[in-house]
Amino acid sequence: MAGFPLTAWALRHPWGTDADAVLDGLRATSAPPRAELTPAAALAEALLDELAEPCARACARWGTSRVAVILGSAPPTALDALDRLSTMLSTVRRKTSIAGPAYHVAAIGAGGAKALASADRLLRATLADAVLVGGVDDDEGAMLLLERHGDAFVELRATAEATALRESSGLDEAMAERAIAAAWAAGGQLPLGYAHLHAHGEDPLAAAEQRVLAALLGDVPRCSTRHASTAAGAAAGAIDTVLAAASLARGFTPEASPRELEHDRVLVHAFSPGGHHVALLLQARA
Amino acid sequence: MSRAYVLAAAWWDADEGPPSAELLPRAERIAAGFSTRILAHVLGQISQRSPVPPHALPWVLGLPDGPYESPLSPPLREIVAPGHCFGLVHAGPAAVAMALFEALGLLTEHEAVLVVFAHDAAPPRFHEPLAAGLLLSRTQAQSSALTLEPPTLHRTPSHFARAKSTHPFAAARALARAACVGSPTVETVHCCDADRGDYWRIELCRAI
Repeated sequence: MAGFPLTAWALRHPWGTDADAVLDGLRATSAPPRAELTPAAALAEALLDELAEPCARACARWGTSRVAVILGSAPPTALDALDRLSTMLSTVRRKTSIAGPAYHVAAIGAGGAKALASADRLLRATLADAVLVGGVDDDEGAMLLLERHGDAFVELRATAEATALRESSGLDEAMAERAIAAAWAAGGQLPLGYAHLHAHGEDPLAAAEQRVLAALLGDVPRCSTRHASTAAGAAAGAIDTVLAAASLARGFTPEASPRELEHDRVLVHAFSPGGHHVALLLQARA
Repeated sequence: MSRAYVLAAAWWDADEGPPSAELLPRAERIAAGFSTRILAHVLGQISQRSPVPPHALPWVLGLPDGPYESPLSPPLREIVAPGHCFGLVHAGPAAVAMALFEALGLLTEHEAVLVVFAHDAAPPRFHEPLAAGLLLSRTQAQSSALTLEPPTLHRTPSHFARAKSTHPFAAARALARAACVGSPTVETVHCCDADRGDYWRIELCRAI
């Protein structure tokens, strides 16, 4: 099964306005200065400005109603109402010609990754031919354009999701294993350049995630970039995916002392306290 | 294009009388919020009509706009979705069509998917409380008289596209009602920018 090319992406992060700046920041001996807080709505406008041309090309190529929008979000609450999210969908429609399906999927800490999994399924089901996907929080966000065909260095090869029985603040190792194993198997269980983890070294959940990855994938390099991030929900997973794709393009792991990638595939794992686990397999295209 | 067979459907509105939430243990039923109880009512009805137990299915919960309290209480979630991928989809007035897109996408990975909607009468938008659900399958079963076609976008003057009800889930109830009697129907919902006049057309067709 062929993957779907990531034909464009844009990122906003306290460390910079592109993936290279963030990857360079990871190697810096001291953390780069953080930019001033930018509200999510303003960031969404900036990301859409940057992606205006690729979106216009996709609309011209596939037809506006065949281009979808799926954004990750945290589950809505009375304090963070859905009206705000509907406004963001309206912003996408206002700034692009996209007229296809447009919705949010909710998962704390994994919204962007879950949106990518939904986009993958819409494309495989031929319900859309291109999907603008991602998530935006205050202060950081990322959007990616996924198309059925197109010129790109990286493709989304496979996705898988699993949901735990009970909500908890921990990581459900069985569900993490299920999602990761399914995505890796769908991609042919080919060797990975590295695994992009959700939890960073200081996170109490990191040990459990490392254990699952080690049991499944063996001695594959494992990296997390979330300590460089404050993403609460919507952007989480989308930022990881952009950084993983940029790392494939560079050929090095995203960490303080980058290692050269021996294989051109990355598995991205994201999870939420709601029990969602999402695994995404990215691959460099020949 | 992906289409789905409708295996079972149910709805709850005020005409149905008090919701029967017997899926929930008695202690949970007493403590459950109203939106949880109307959702449990719908899931209980679907359980009785479905050839597949709902707890064996992945599912999608569609949400309208406005302040929100989840109808998906932890005990209900443990009953209907143990260990299965599920999604919360929200998309303003288009929530019904968008949740169906998400469900149709899930059929690429699963044999059947449950898609449900539940809306309590919460301020500031005082719609009547309403819940509805459809069990969709990628293969035809003896009980599946109808297919759900992927929603299609239409652009006409807004007076023509006017929805039959302002309730965000009125289309879901109409689809469930039609599915319960095996009657084809066409429902419409506005896209997220209602002022543009675009609308999604959702069609249940007779299965061949």
